Amino acid sequence: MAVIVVEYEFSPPITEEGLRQMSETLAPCSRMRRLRRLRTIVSQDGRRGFCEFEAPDAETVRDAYRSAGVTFLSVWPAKLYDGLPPSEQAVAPAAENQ
Amino acid sequence: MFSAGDAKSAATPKLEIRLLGEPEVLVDGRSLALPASKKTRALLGYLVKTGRAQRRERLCELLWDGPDDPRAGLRWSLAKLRPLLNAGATERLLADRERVSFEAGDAVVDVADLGLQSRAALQSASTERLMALLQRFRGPFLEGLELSSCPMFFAWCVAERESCRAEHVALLNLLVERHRAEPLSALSYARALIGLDPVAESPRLLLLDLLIEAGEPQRALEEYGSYARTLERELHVAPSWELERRRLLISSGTVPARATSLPAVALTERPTPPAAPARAAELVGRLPQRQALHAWLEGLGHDRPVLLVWGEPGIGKTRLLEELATLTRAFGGQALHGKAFEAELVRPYGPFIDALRSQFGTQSPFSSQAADRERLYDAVLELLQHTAETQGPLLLVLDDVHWFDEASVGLLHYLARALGTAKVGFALAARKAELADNPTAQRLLRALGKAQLLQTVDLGPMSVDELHQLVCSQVRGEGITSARPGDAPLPDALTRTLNEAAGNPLFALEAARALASGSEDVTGSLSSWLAERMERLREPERALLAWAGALGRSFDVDVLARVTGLQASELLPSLERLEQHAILRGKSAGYDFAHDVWRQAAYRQMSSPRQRLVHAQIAKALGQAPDHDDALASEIAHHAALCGDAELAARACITAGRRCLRLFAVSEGRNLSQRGYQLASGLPETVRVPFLVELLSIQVLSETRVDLVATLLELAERARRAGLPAVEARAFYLSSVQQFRRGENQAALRSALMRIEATRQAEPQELGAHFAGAARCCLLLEQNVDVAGQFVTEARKLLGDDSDAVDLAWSRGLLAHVRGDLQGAAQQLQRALQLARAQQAHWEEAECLLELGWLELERGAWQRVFEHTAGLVHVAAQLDEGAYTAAARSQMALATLTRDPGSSFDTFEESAQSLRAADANRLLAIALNRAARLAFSGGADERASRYAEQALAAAGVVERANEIACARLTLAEVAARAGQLNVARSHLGELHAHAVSADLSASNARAIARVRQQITQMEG
Repeated sequence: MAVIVVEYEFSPPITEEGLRQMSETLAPCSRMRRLRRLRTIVSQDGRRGFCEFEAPDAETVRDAYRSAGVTFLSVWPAKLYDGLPPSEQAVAPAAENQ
Repeated sequence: MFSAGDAKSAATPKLEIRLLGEPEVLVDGRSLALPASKKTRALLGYLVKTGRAQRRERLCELLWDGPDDPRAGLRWSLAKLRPLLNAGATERLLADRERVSFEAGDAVVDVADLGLQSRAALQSASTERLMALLQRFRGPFLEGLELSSCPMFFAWCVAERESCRAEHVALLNLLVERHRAEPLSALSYARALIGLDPVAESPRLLLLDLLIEAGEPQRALEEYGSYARTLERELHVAPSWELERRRLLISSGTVPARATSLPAVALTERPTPPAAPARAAELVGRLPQRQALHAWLEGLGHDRPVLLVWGEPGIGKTRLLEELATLTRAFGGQALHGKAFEAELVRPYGPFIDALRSQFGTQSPFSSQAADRERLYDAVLELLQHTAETQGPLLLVLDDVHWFDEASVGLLHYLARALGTAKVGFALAARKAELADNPTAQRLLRALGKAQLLQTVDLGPMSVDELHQLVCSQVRGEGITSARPGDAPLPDALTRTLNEAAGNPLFALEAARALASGSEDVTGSLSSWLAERMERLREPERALLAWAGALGRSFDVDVLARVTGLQASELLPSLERLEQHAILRGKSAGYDFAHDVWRQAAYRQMSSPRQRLVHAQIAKALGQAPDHDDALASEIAHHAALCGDAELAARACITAGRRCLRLFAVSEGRNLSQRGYQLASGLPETVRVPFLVELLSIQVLSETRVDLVATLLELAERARRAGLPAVEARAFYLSSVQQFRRGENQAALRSALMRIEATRQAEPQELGAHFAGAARCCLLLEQNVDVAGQFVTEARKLLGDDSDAVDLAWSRGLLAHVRGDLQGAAQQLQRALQLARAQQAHWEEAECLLELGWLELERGAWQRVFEHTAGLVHVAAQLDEGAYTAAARSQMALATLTRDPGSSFDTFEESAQSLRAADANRLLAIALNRAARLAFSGGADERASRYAEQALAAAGVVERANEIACARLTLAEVAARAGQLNVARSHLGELHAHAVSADLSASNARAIARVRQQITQMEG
């Protein structure tokens, strides 16, 4: 399974209730395609957002959205970078090189 | 009174709990402030009255049945009750993880031994003991806490109230009997009996007899006349023979008059104090708050669009919002008013509907059906923005947010965030403490606060000087002196009044009015003053207040005329007088109480039986009123539930619930469905089952996550037994809808087929569309192809072959393709394509074009492939992130390779790379498999093998059985041609394992058979 990110733009801005509705609409199509939503992030003004899925591929996610009639801006496969050092340490090697 | 611990040490605080009337908790005779949350007080009443351990789930079901965290609600309420009940070192509120209980111990509880008093025990009790018992009855059990929005608690509370009332009646009858020898003393008890049930005959007969015995035949005749009018008005019946006989006896002089005169009981009207001005001309005090309002209004358009005025009841929130409205008009803008009411938590968008309809009438977005919630929200937003742009600043005053319904909360949240720079503001008022009962509104305010969209204004107590100024501006009469404090000492009574008010202007005004009308009890309670003021009103005004109180919300003259059966011309003088008394207030769209405490007082002046009669009459009148968009249904449900008409209430819940779904108020729809379910559960089976199925349909159509399948199937069985085939069919249909949604296609099909078997009379279009959609879904995913075939058959029967449903033609095309009927598939897919284009359904159009492209490639018709890919490129531009465009390019490359065998695969490779970049494994697998077949046909076995391996990997990611099969077939054939029969066998073996479980297309099945035969021959 891959990590897939769905990017949204909401105009008008989306509310919590709107997100709940969207999630319910998507549920049957997601289930049939073995998508698992990991998390959703929405900007404070409700105009942009991301959803992170575990899914076979990006097109399967697009299919699910289109089949459910839910619009999106783009869908792309993503990589997780969990092992990066904290930001304050990240500059250390550069300092050593000087 | 029950008390187990009188002998205890005097140092132990003595706890007393009173549940008859408004609940009270007293420690050593001192009344404690109870939590403002009604649910918390209701919980107190329930735990104390039942007196046994209750499971937490039971308490949650009773009071917190909803989508929010019920256990958290219970925990919060218990935390509020604990310090009240655990006075001293005694722990009376016991709670563990499972259960909660109240153990009275030495606490005194007014209802503790009610019902234990047998009639015989009462008969033998002394008169003093009976009179002491009577003191306990301060009002109905848990007055004002029936919580009609919590059906289970409501049912329990009403039953308990009825049983307490029966005790009260028995006690009063006994006291009348004990005082029969002194009719003058007995009269007050007889009047109390009438107060408990104004339309019952027996207490009226008793009163007439007592008046006759007391030698007051004239007053007996007046009583008779008053009762006859009540009967005519309330029940439309004439007095009974027994009453008529009394009248004849009195009229004929058979009963001699006695010389004794009666004490002045309230039979005649009492003098009315001079009418006060309806409203203060100027707002008194509140300078910092006024400055805050001014600044907020100036900042509209670039600062926080929501203003919230906090404060306790009667502190002047509404008055401050009125001041803001006046200020807005002074700024050249306009103010619209809406208000939430306690009785209508299920009227979606109630405050907004009222505010917008008053100004925009039929132009209000709520007057027409929107396509979806977003469009409804947008329509409201655009209307507000446009009005502000063209007509100046616009203020929506929305009062009593603590009673907001969830739909209004959602809309307000949206508007506040989306307004942008429009000069539109929302001014809200709320009672902080009562918000605890409305977590949705609480969340809204938290979210608005976090997003910096909310400005709050706290309204604290007024100073004594300000109260004095206020009282002088609004109340005239004896004892109200306008001398400024400091100039000269105020009269003692007025000083006490102002101090007692503790900074609350409503309290001060009502106390001052009591003082002005000669009352000496200026330290009484607000409710006692209101009751006293109502007593002084004339009968028509008192009656009118009762109706208005029962309506539970603002009203216009037409509504009042409809429910009372009186003409508007008869009502207007009374309404005018009530306005002069500052009890009602005229508004742009009708009337409302000057304050909610008046509404409660007006309602509580009626006995429970009378309340039921009034609610029944209101429900009936509203049911007969024109109501084209079912806007009255939730009110009918409310009144019908309160008058005990479960059938009407459940029916109205269904209508109101469906309306909620139309307005996208999903949560309110579900609440109504649950309420109706409770109400309908006591009806006879043949009435109940259809109601229950329809009530569940609201939940199913609201896409609830609650699993209702088992309940629906059980209801279908009950409907079958009750001989209700249409209801049985409906239950099967609803269960199939839920099963579809959960992806349980086989089970859904079973339910749907059973439904069709039961009857075919309901919603063929809806069901047909569902079948077609489910079939399309299965076929696109290559799952349950046999089931999809049955769905297609059912959809065709229900919709007809000439249906314009894209899904039907599309699924027929996909099915024909899977079954190997390429000609039929092309025809159906062409039809689906035309329909999708006509309906501007871009995704459907793209998928049909893609499918047609693959199909024509399979048929070798490369010219048609170019036609379809041209269309696909065009539509892909409106959808795409590259996948459809890449697929179109790969189809074009494959068509070129078909047309010119031996040409370069470079273009194809580029398109495959684009498909990889778009992470479209399904399309990549199909394209690679087609390319592999072409390469194999042209003898390029290495390329064919490479493509097939890549196709196998891509198809594996998305678990596409047909593409896996296709890739393995190519690999098997390449291996066979190279003489590697073991490898070929191995691929065929894998294929065999797949073919058992997968839904392979006819062409793949044929190909497998062909290759297997080929390899067998080679081995042979």
